[in-house]
Amino acid sequence: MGGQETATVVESRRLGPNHVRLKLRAPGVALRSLPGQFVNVRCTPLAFAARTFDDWETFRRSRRTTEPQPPATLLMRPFAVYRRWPNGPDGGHIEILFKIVGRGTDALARKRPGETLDLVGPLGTGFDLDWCRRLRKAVVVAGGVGLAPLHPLVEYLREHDVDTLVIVGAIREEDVPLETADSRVTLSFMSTEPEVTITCEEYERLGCGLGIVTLEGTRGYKGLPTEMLDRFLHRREAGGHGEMAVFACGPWGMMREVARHAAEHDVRCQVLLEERMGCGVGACMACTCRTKGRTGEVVRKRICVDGPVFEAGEVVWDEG
Amino acid sequence: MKDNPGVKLAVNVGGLALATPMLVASGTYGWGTEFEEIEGFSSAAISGIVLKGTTLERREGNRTPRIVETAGGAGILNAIGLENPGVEYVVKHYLPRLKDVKARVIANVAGATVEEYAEVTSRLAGEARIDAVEVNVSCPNVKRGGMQFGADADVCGQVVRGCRKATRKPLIVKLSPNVTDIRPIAGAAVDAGADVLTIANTVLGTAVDVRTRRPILGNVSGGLSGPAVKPIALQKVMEVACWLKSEGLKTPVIASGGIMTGEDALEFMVAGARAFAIGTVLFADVKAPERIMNEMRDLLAELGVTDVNDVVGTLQLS
Repeated sequence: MGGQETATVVESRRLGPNHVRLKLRAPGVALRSLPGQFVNVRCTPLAFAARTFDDWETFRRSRRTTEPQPPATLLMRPFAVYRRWPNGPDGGHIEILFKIVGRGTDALARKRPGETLDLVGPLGTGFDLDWCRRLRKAVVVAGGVGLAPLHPLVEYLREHDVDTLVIVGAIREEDVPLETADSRVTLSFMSTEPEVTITCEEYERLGCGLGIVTLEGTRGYKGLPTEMLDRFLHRREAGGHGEMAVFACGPWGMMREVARHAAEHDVRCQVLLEERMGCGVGACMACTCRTKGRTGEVVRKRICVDGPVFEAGEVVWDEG
Repeated sequence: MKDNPGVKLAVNVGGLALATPMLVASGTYGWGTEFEEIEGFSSAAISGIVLKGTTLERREGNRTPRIVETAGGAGILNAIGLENPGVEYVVKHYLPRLKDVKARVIANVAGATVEEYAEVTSRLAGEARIDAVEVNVSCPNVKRGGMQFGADADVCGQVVRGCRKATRKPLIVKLSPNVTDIRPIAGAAVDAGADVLTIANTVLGTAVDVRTRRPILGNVSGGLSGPAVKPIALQKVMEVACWLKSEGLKTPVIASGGIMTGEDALEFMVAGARAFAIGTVLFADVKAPERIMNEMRDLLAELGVTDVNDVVGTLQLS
């Protein structure tokens, strides 16, 4: 498990109206974070801690400020490590990608370069990399900002020459957390789909296929990401079951459907679960999920330490 | 920890000798080893670990979401529902991990019947690693085995009497703030043999999502903790401490409720607590144990206090 460090904001980039990419100098996490792991971020300074004696003046000054301050937060917030650069000249950098959904993310979205924030990490158990790198093909299904924790996996898979298709599903265009362009594209194994003309420079560079699906049809295909997954699984060449896998992160219903499709095609599937967390280290039991035990009984597992990555077949999906 | 050799921090609560007045509250510190996994985390200031609430059989707990932060970051609502693997599993798998832990280990016992409380107490107190037992008659998040035992003085007395018979180790009773008058319940616990009172557990609350028109917590209601509840807990501690004194009782109080700083902790001690438990602050600041203890030492030194026991119950009410 990781430790606490004080990170410095290097860059904050808005991605459409809802998403932010926040680049932080955080050498400890940058060096050690593995695909699927996360960091706990303190989104606002601890006002209560400022009532210590060294900080008394800072505290008093902060009270006199006239600038509107984002509401304070108490719990740290978990964020996937979206990208990392372990060998920066001034120490490693990481980037988190998030959607603004509440107090914590709102406060983070206001952070400017040079500001600092505390984080704890890397936390959690990520993907089984020994298995991942031996795959021949992988389909990675992201629901909106669910792309964030899957991105390091995509990079890892491509580093190990695993043929990878990334499917990003969203309600509408602004929910796609990617910088995309419309242009010619050559997809590694979706080449029978000439109508796909959305490209993302980053994914082109990684050499993986990208399919964008929106429910409202405002970007890419109109429909559900699982429909694209299903078409792909149906068309897949015979054989090689053990060499292929599906990965998913997104809304519960989407992951449940991805798990169902994968199971129907006898393809191993791993999901990355999300839940409101307390401690992030397995102590408070707030973020547990239901899994199937060896004898069919329900076993609660802690998403923060036993996960966030789980075998799709292990999860009890009926609790919505 | 900073060195302030001039300040004595050791306290004794009901026969339980503690190196500092700081404990970690049940449910916030797991089974005592989870936080230690964080690099740089220091548990040195923690003199007593109260383990997660334990029942006879395993409990799955409530549906998720089980935790939500309240407005302005003032507190958190939780509704875990006493998820735990059952007393036998705890004894077999979790207590051995605490072998080298320097802090005192306090079991937290819950149950659905008076007999279950007694049985779990007996099983846990029989273990050498357990230094004391805290009886949880105040969990707001389970239908049976929680607050209802602590909301009625007679029932509370029965539960505590059963546990008292099951062990000779220090017996702590954790009371609920969700009562009209906490004093008769505190009195019943003391009459039944409680050595120490922990005041208080979480305050009942809920949170609503206007978009879905549903409660946010899977359990609908939950227990509020954090800075938001500090004034409530502080008042209960003061009220009980004053009442105990007026009755000529020497039962010590462990304060629990929204402690974020060393000053918060001292306020509780001035109000009458002999020790205090931190909890929610751990989810906000993993350096909290060390920081709070340093703040407390510095403040004591600044106030010219050389022994923390000297501030206990010094609140001037007239």
